Amino acid sequence: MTKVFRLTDIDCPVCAGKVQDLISKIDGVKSARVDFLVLKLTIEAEEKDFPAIMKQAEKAVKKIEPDCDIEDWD
Amino acid sequence: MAKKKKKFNKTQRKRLASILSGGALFILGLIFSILKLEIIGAVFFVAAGAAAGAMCVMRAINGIRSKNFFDENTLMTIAAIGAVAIGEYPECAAVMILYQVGELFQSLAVGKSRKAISELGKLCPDTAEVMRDGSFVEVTATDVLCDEIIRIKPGERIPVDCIITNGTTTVDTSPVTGESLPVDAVEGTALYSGCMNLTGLITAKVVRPASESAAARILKLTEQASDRKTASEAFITRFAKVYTPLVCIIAAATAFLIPLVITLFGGNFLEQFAIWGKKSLSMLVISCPCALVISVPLGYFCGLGRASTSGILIKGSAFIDTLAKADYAVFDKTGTLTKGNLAVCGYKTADNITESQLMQYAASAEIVSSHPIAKAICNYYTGELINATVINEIAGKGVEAKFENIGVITVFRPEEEKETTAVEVTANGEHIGTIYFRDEIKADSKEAIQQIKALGIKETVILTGDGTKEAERVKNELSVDKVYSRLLPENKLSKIEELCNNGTVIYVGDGINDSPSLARADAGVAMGALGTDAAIEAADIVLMDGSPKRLAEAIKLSKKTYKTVKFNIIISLAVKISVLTLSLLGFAGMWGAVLADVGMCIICVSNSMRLLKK
Repeated sequence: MTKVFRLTDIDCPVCAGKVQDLISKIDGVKSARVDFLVLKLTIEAEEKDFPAIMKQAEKAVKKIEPDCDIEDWD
Repeated sequence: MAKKKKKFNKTQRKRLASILSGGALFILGLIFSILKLEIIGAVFFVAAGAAAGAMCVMRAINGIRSKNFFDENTLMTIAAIGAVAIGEYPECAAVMILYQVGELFQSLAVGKSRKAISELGKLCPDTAEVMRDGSFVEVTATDVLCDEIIRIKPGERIPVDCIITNGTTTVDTSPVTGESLPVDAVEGTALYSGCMNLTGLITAKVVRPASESAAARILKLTEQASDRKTASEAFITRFAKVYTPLVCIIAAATAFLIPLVITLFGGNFLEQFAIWGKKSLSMLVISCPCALVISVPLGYFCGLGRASTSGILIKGSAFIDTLAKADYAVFDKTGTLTKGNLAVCGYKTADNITESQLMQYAASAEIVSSHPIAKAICNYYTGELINATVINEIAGKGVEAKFENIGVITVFRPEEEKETTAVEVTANGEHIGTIYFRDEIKADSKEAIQQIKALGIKETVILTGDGTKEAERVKNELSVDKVYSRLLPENKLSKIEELCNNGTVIYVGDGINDSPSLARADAGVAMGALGTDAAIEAADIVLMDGSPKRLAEAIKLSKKTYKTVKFNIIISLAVKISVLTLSLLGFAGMWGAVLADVGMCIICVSNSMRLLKK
């Protein structure tokens, strides 16, 4: 399944690209996309893997943009 | 959307703080230098560099920890430390301060554009007044169900798509369609969410819940738009990946390889390293690809956002390029260039009958029919009607009506299909006249075609299922280049395919039965498609109102966006390459390099944001 999240502060497309690369490499992630202009993070993975993936994704985001959080899209 | 109440976000506040503290320390350093207290001055310069660059250094350390060595933060840090090492203390501070200024500016610009786009999503009020248990109560707009009755006061926005059940008003549809003239709305008029109710109190029946209403659909489309990337965006993303390592390699080669080669020819390595190492530091200063990378997607983003304020929804930046490069503009005739409803355009009467008599008989007979021909006759004739005793509608033929004093009137379509649409009228079996009809051309079609031609479209084409004579008339009246008539939907599709082989094709249709053509063309444009899901689905570009002039506007805007983005790519590459070359030749110091880079960033980002303006 695919889930959509909102990134709070990410202002640089290069950083967004790095975040995308890091999240794509997390175990269980089938595909990940960061769209930095609409601040959208799309992750495709098995439903049961999401809680574990999101913990690692938070860490990955913080590594690149220390002030950026992941929120639910709605 | 994001809850951003503060003017600056966390990162932006940190950057601002680093710039201000760095700037203050820098000025102190300058004062001490002027007072010939060089050593104290140097201390302040280094402190300024440290204050401004702390964020940069932290990120560099983070980058190295995650084995990401070619990070622009790392390279900027090396450049600043290098400047201190060779005794260029003011440079160390300047590089860091100006780098932060560039980053902050860029971040604010992105934030501003995002805000402009997301405001489109705020078209709808959060609440609606809905009839529950006999009285109107205020509820959240998303809680309103289909078929419920809502009340909208003058000056309020329409919360959900609905149909007026009571009251008359005028509606400003410009937030949704871009059309600036207010529209009259009466009982039975469909209203779209996001439009503004101007003058009257109305009650209306809900036809779609908030999540499926017009404003929500528009927002969804704009948010998805960035999913389809252009060739330029893909290029710049790939370029960004190799750019920083490339600059790094060039700088390293300059610092180490060149002195080494010179040493082999008898030079002193340390002496040469001091000269070339300094040059390489200027190169590191331009290692951040952000300015270059940001202005391209930002340009498209602003172009898409600007288009949507005119009621032009473009489903991906790729279609901006298609519109900008289009060779053929192909139009469906009915409903696109013409109004799609028939109007009386002429008549022939038998000798013993007047025009008003003919029209009166015909209108009185047709009054209850809902056929387009009947409507055209009744719209044309505004005089008194005679009451018929019996009216029979004969499917596929017309109507037959009995009147007390006149007898039997028939209004029949001729058996063999003629070039123009017409009906024969008889009274008691005797022919009394013929009425001719045609599809009215939209008021601004002609101007639209002229504008489209002036924008450099090679050929304008009409495709229609109608007869040759009618098609030729429309072609000549609008001065369209070519027309293909009597086409079935599948013929239209093969015509589009033929044109696609020769160039880039825009196809404009109303989306009613030409979805295959919309999908096949390089850019399928659905017109006046506010209400139809199928058209929005099949088309690449949706024009919210029915005016063909919007297409001209869309092409114009796309060309502007395309040019802006191209200019940005060229100027940023040119600046980066010049700085590299000038540094190598020894003409650009760190000051020059960082100023050029930050200046270029500001120019490109501002240039992209210019697209947002009307």
